Amino acid sequence: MNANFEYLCYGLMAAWLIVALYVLLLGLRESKLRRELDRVRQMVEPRSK
Amino acid sequence: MRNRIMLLLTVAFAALLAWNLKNILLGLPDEARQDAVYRILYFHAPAAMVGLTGFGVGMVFSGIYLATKNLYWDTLAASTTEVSLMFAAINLVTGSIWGRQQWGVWWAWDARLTSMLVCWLIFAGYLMLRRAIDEPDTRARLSAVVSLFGTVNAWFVYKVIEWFPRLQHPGPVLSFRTGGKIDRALETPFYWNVLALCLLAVVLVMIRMRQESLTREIDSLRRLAHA
Repeated sequence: MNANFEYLCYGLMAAWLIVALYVLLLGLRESKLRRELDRVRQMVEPRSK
Repeated sequence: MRNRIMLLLTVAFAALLAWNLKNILLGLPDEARQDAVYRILYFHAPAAMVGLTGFGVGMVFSGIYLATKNLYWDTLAASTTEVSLMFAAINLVTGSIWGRQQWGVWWAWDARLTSMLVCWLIFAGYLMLRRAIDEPDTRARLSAVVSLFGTVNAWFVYKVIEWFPRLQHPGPVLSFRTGGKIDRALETPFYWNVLALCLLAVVLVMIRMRQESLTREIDSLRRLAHA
């Protein structure tokens, strides 16, 4: 394979890998927040009844 | 409504990127000196433009916070800065890969590369600072100072290739900075990629803002639970 083309592939893969990792991080953070929100809601609900 | 806007922007981003990527990879000819690898620059430079502009936008939001003391603007500034930092990382990594092929080295300590790295480190420090301070107003005020300092550096990153023309990093290429040195057929896909990355940046900032509103909701419920 042309070395030049190989580096182009590395560049494009690196760019999208960084985006994918960040999106994954956002997804993990959001699911953690939603779990925490459910837990705190359950804690508050008996008090408000 | 917000979810619908996010979905619409994501679809627009994906469609624009797919169409433009096809043009870049299959439609454009190889460059005379660089062959195929110059296509990395269609992501490297737009990522820098979106990242550096995002740092400036974040500073403006911080400024609005300082003027209004409304924490919404501080949250928006932090979200914008975090997303911009990701684009700056893309710029640094793709530039390094391009440099390895073209210069034979992964990194050169010239003013452009070094100032971009310093800029990235300043804004990484900005996010660390925010995690270290619990009191919202102090956090917002200090963040605004770091944001101002970092944005001045971002402006230096932008201008340094004009001020120091003999750098390892190439000088300005785009026609709005050179007055038309580059062929329009090569330049147009570049701007489409800038637009695509801007759409992606807006979606990511909206997701971050949604997470911030979840955090606020959790905090207020916790206060209620402990009252």
